[in-house]
Order: sequence, then C-alpha cells, then structure tokens
Amino acid sequence: MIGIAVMYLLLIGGMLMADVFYSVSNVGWEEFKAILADEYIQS
Amino acid sequence: MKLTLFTCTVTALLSVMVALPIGYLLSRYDFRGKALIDAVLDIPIVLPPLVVGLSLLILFNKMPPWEWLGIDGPSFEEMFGKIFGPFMPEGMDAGITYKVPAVILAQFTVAAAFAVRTMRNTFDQISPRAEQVALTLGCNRAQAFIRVVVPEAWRGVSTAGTLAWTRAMGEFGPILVFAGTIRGRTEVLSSSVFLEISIGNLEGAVIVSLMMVSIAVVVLIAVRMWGRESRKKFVL
Repeated sequence: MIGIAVMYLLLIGGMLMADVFYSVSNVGWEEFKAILADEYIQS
Repeated sequence: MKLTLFTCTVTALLSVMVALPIGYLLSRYDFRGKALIDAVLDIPIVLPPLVVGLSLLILFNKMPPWEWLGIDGPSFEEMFGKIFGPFMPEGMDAGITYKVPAVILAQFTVAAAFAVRTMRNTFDQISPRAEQVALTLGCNRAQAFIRVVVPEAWRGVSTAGTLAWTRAMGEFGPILVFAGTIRGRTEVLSSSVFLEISIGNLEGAVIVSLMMVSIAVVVLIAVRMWGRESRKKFVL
C-alpha cells in the first residue's frame, strides 16, 4: 500500500517534470516566446 | 460497458490503496515537506484534463528519465513491456499507451487525488485517542492502524472508493490523449459519447449519456443514504 502511494506521488511529480523537461529540451526559449506571442497572446 | 466497469473498479481499488496511507500521513503527522506533498496531490484536480493526459503521454512514451541523466536506457513503456510481456496472453503485447492500462492510469491519476482528499477529511474527523489507547495496550503502529483506525474510517473508505469510481467513469480528457478512443479497444462510456457525436449519431450519444447519468444518480443516492445511516448511528 505504501509502495503504491509512493509510486502515485512519483507519478504526479514525474508527470510535471516530464512536461517541463520535454518542453525545455524540444522547444527553445526563443521559439517558445514566439509561439506564445504569435498564437496565443495576440489572439 | 464491460471495459468501463472493469477500469473504474480497478481505479477505485487502487485509489483507496493510495488514499489510505497518504490520507493518514497528512492527517496525523507533521513533517518537513508536508505542504509540498499536499500541493502536489491537488495538481491532478486543478490541471486541465487534457494536460494531465499529455503529461502522462510524455512521461511514459517520450521521456525516459535516463535521457536526463545521459544514460541510454528503456522508456517506462518498454520497461512495462519487458516485465509484463511474458505474462500476457498470446497475441497481446504488454504496452501502456493507447491500451487498457493507459485508460486505468489516466482515470487513476485524477480519481486518486479525490480519494486522498476524502480520506484525509475522514481521518481529520476521527479522534486519535482510540489508536493511542491501542498503542498503550501493546499494539504497534501497523496493528493500531489496521485493527482500530481502518474499521473506524470504514465509511470514509467506502465514500472515497465510490467517489473515485464515479470520477473515473466521468473521466474523458486524459483518456482521449493518453489512451485514445479506439472503438472496441480503449472505448469507455465517456469516450463512446464523444465517438457517437463525432459520427453524427446524436441518439446513440444521448442513450450512452443517459446511462451515465443513471449510474451517477444511483451511486450518489447510495452514498447519501450510507452517510445518513452513519450519522444516525453516530448520534445514537
């Protein structure tokens, strides 16, 4: 039970980390700013 | 329908198994990092459902942790396949993404957060006196938890399980992204509604919706009645 609970916490933490790391490693900062400004902030 | 009942039941059982220790820990102990764990547990509730699905997809499929450490290793999906592959029936591969485990995982991620909240509130309302007495009478912590705390919190456990079950039934966003909506393979009731609407079969969508509404109402009434009975017993 404790093992599953720990794995659940790791799952949520891992989920967030994966999102952040994937964005950082696949989308450069300049590209990130450009997409954000062009597609979402202006619309 | 069968897949929905199966995945929701597995999700509810897993959610209760997670909610019991975490709810107890957050309710009874003060430790460093408690606020952080508390906040992390709220994340699946506050995140948009599609983002939860996308994050799971990246975590299991695209983002092996070895990559960050500079080691060449398998992804979570490949590890899962290696561990459970030999036990799978012939003709079935042990993957996660776009398969039944993805449906369960997507439902579990969100439903368990609700179950943990419910269990924490339950433990908050239970006085620690009885378990302290059990400790003075020779029980160790685990025995006091299993023999005293769990029976006292039984109605909370059933409520948490029911909530997790119904929440899992209504889950759609994470399933859409992480498990897909493949007819006959990863199709649950909520994704059936989406599939029926997408092909213009409004009647089919309405019938499935009605079925979901009926199940939700029955479960809610059952939980309310259970709660009322327990209150009566408490007053008496």
